[in-house]
Amino acid sequence: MVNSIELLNYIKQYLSTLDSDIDLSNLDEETDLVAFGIESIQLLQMIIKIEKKYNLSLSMDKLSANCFKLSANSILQSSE
Amino acid sequence: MSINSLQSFGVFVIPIRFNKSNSVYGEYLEFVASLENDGYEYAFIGEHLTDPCEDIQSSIVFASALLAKTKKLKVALSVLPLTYYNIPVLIKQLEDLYLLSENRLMIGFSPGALDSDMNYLQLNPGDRYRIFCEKLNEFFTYVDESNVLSTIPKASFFSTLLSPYPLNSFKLFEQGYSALSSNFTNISHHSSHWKCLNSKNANKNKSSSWHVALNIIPCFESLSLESQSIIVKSLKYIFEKLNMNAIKIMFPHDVLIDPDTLPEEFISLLIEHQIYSVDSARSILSNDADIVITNLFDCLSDPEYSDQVRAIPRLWLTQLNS
Repeated sequence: MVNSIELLNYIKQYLSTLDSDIDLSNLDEETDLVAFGIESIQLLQMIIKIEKKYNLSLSMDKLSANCFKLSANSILQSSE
Repeated sequence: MSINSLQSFGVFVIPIRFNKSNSVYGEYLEFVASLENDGYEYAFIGEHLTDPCEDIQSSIVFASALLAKTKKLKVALSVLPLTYYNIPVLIKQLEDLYLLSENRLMIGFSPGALDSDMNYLQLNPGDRYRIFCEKLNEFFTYVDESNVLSTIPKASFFSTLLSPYPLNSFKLFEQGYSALSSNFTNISHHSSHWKCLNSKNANKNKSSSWHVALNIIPCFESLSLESQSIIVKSLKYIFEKLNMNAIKIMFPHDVLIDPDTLPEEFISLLIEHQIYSVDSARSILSNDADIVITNLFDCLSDPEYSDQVRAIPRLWLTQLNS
């Protein structure tokens, strides 16, 4: 099972491929990627890659319980 | 889910063209204009600069022609990819269009989607969202300063939801704007759309609206074989355009499509999860949606298709009352 540090590193790597100038220094396991300014379709692509790479399945109901926050930690808590 | 008897009907117009015998500014314009006599209250007009099959290149031009031909139909630009526009010029064009419309105009906005559009404008596709954010701020600053556009209710501005996880869509309702769920997003994701729109207790003043587009066809099997083929080709075209996102967007989470899925099976799944009869759409559509919008396919040369599209509002309300 992937841990939050490993997932965070993957998220950082993914976001860097979208924008090589993006400042990720403040991104941690709790950072909400929506508030961080990542667009819906970019988030969707990232979720698809994460689900495939780590064999996870994100549950919208569990995300809802996490107040729709999408962070490295909430992805792990909201996955089945 | 219960049925909202106050739902209004709309049509979404940017057909994926496989039958070039009809012209967008001929048959399509006339057909959509005539729908205001069949219970339709709204026409949502799409646009793409460079899509080879979706050939409305300016929703403003189509809307101006449609508004000039109609008296009651409300017309929505669905949606303006602000990333591509010079905002001060756009604002002046929208002012004229709004005056022409006599309060019948709704304005959609988005980042745009096609890399080929960015390339056409000699913009870097990787800069899309940065440019969009800048243009969006500029757009609403100009709207607020416009004597004409500042009179349009905020709820008449909207954006499109395509992802099953539109987590940032609460910003639309938070600011009083509306939302339109795409007809290619599977209906099983609509509950997520509504939850996301209302997350953070965004819609406190209830002024925002949620419009839902669907591929409604009262009786698919009654259409000509050519029409059925065009509809399937259209769905496959969108599936390929959405690329790696397609399965997540167009199908429920529990549907498995992989390289082993047979072509015939894939087509059956596309029809099952993308095409709705009036009855099935009514039974699963959320009563929170205020406008039900049916997507127009490139089948106008089939009289059976045209008749079925015309009949949707009547069938919906008849079945509701029976």
